[in-house]
Amino acid sequence: MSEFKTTTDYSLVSIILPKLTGEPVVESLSKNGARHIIQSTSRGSMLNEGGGFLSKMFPPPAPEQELFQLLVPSAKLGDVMQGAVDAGYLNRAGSGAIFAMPCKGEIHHTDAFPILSANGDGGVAMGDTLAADMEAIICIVELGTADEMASAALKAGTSGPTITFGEGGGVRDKIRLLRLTKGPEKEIVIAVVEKGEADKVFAEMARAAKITEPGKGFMYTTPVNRGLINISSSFSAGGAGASLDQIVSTIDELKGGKDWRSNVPAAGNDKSKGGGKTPLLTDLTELVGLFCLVHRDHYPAIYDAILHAGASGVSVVFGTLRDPNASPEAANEEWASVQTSVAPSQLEKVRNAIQDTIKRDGIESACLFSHSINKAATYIPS
Amino acid sequence: MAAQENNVGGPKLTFKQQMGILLPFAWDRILEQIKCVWFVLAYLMLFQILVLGLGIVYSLMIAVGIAITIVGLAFFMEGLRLGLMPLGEILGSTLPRKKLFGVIPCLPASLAFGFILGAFATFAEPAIAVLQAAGSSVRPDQAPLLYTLLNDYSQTLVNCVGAGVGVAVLLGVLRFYKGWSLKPFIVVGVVVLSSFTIYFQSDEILKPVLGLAWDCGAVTTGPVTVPLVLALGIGVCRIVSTGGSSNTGFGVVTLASVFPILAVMLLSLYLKNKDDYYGTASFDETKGNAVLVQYIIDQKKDAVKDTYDEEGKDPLGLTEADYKGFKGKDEPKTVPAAFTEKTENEAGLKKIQEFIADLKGLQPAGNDAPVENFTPEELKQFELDGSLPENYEITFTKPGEGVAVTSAESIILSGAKMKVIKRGDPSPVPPSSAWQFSKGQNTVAGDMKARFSTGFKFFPVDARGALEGALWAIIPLSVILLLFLMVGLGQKPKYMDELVVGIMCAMVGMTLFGLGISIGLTPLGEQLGANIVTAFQGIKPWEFESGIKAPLIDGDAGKIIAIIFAFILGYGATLAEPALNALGATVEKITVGAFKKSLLMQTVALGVGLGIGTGVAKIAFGLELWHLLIPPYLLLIPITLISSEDFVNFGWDSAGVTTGPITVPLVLAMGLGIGAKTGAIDGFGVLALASVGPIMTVLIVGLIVKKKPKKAEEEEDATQTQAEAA
Repeated sequence: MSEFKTTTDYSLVSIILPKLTGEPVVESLSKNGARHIIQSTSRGSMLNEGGGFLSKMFPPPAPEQELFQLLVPSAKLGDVMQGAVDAGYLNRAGSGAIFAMPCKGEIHHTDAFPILSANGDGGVAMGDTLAADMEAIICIVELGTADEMASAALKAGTSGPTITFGEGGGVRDKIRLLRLTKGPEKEIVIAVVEKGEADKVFAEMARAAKITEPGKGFMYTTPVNRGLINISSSFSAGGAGASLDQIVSTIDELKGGKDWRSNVPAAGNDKSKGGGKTPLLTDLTELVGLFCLVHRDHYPAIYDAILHAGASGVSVVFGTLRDPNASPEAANEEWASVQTSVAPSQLEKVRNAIQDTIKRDGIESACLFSHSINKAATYIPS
Repeated sequence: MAAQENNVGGPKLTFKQQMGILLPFAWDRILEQIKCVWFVLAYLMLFQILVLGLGIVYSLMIAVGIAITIVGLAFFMEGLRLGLMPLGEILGSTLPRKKLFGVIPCLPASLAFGFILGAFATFAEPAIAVLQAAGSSVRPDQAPLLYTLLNDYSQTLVNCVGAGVGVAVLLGVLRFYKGWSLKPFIVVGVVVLSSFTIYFQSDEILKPVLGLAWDCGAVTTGPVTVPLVLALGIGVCRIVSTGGSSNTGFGVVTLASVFPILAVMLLSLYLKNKDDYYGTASFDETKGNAVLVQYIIDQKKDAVKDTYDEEGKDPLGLTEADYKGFKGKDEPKTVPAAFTEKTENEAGLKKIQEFIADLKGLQPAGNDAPVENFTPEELKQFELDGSLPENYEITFTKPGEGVAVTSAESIILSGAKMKVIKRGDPSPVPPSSAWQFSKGQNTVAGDMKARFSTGFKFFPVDARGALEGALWAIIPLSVILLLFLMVGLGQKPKYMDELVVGIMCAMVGMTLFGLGISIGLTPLGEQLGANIVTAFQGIKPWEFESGIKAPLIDGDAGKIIAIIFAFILGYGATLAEPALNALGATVEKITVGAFKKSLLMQTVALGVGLGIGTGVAKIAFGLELWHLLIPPYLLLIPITLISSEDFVNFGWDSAGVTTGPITVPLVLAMGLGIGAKTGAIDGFGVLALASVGPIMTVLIVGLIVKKKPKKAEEEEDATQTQAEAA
């Protein structure tokens, strides 16, 4: 029986760690009570220093990462995030990232959904290590575009975006021929930048992806209220005493800030297309991103419901559920995060459609939440 | 921003709009395949024309064949993407979650399914034809056990290989469930195989089987099995894996390459102990000498045989008494003296000369004109490489007219007979106008027609045609998978129509590329394979009736050219392989794009090139197979142990995916061509060496690009910080 409960004041916490280093962090999260952590595989991005023919024939592998996401109430945000930072040494350069995106409005979830509850004593106040005032840029693009966007972001000065695979669609699902000729696979690029740089990075990434052309994808920014980004952004030769990131962050500390960085030309900058025009980004403001977490088996129904309700596009990211209570031999449960971006006027309708589907199909465990979208860019038919 | 289409049906597209979507898409896919295939084709043609200086025979037919191959490959890869791989992945991700028929628990059901899939895939994509081709020049009296395995016991051989692959897939699935690393399997496998190899090497009877055994491992997993098994593994691992890269879904193909080797070795040990092969007492006696006779009859070209049959002559020119020796069960079992080359008497020698002349397609001149026989030494030389002794020349006479003709055209049109005449002045290489293309009746159109119909064959014969092969390879497997999925596990795939379209595309694709390969790639490979020998020896070029081309560089230096040629051929052909394409795409998908497809493909292609170059060196210089095979495998053990688990998985799997429908015709033809001229017993070994190469290169590249994992660095830092704080 799936009745929906509502609650407010949550954030979606995302943690990006290099592959195989997640265990201590998961342990710390579960100590703080988290029971619904979704883990996806992703890759980082890097500027290849000193390319050349050999690295084009044998492209070096990108850093492999894991992305963990969970919903955390504001009251516990401090505990959870600080715990994760400590467990994963996230304050070290090149160690990963953690950031929290506040959910707008209410969270609707079924009874059976193991959401981290806000009960219990107020937690530790957030430490100063976690910066505030950032924005997350999230892009859903065709396979192969992500690398260009990541290069653009790196050259604009941010640390390497994280890229994961997902599926997406909209118009294509209704036309059978399009379905056959173009698979639903999409790449999802996540970059977290400081608010001041956000516009510039957004514009650069939009240009690299040609996002305003039809069929190229969709990108948007959403606010991040707390975050610590320490992802490595360059590929250092193995065996060096300190990685480039460690050196750069040491200089940051010595110089007291990041301002000095703009004086150093980013690697490979000379080759950037000087004459490229910034696309005319008609600011699509005031959209709302709606997310629904369900078990992977049920995602087709939710996907279709969203499209029927009138959304123009929908995308899905898959992950495995990390439930620390589950026994080790239990089969991995695969979950899906179905996402769409709609105008506020449509929000209610789409959400109701999803909830109806969940009730109709008897889906036991599901959760809906939304994020506000500061800015978005995509093809707009004139 | 709101969607214009709110209805379920979606907008109806006009035919023009549909074509507007479909055509660019189709063209894109074909272009992708052209990009893979152009290198090896351009290389082959340019090499034959520019380096060897010979024209391409049947060029029109080959061009058409190549075009068909490219279209076929495009369809096939699309079929894999749309139908076969999603099917495998859905099945793999459902098996560990739902009980079979609601009753049978997941693990045994998965294991049983794995065994069925592995065994069936071997029957569906029989590699036995490839092996029989490689062993076509094996003489029963030189390598009795090998000959028996390939001919009399070929069905048992296939069954053993099938069982071996079935066990391999079963173990592979078990490994996913238990989370075992692949490394112990590899180490144990290599050690066991090496010790068997060294034992076999020491035994005269078992030694020739080594080449067959190792090549069996290389050819088993074909372009349909590999993507299916990969997709299955990935699906299973998504559900079953407990994290960590030890279980990313790869590794089954490795096992499926190792176990058949073991199976063949065990089978041959068993037969040897039972003394059940050609020439031994326990071998079926009626078969005994008839086997040798059959072998010799098989060696004869059909045209000659037909001529004889028409005139009512015995194909072997033997007398009744000769036949008595081995037809009946109770008669004394002797091979007629005529067939042993140790004979001293004149009549026997003449019989041999006539017989061997027949083999070469030369008509004995009959009673028209005096014919000088070759001396036994000259005969041997002629038999070995077709070179004429110094004071012989070839002339052509129209049948019955005794008039000499010289122009190439009238030679072909009149079906003039060739004669060998001794003459005064030495001039071993006839003028080029005397070179004659293949038998008069074979025009390009006629040959094309003949190969087309062989390509499309539709009834069960030994060499399956392209259509039949594709049907057998894909339909039964798909049906089994679908039945398991829908009936056994009760799971319906989301987009059934995509699956069906995909399977049909795969079938159409496989038919087309099988056909295209037999019309286009195989003749190209055969002629290159035969002609490459002209790099180091003077021989009669492929399908030329007569005439000898002088070698590029005589002797060993010329052999180096052949080896370099083989290296580049291996590199180029591997880039075109569909199974490797599928493996690369899967690796890219599993690592979420961290390992690009091109990294794996280039590395593997390089490794295969090295392996094939080594294989050709083995044939050209007559090296021992085990000298070339065992040291690399033993070297791989320490490299495997220090490599990271995921590279070990990709690397060893890449061995299984190489040698596929594109590489094998090209490489095998080359191996046989060179082997025939250098006197090697068989063409085995090249494929096995082609499998070792990529493992080496992938693991070495893996060691180069992988950095020390961050975790280790941080732990060091952490302990240091704590120590300082304390």
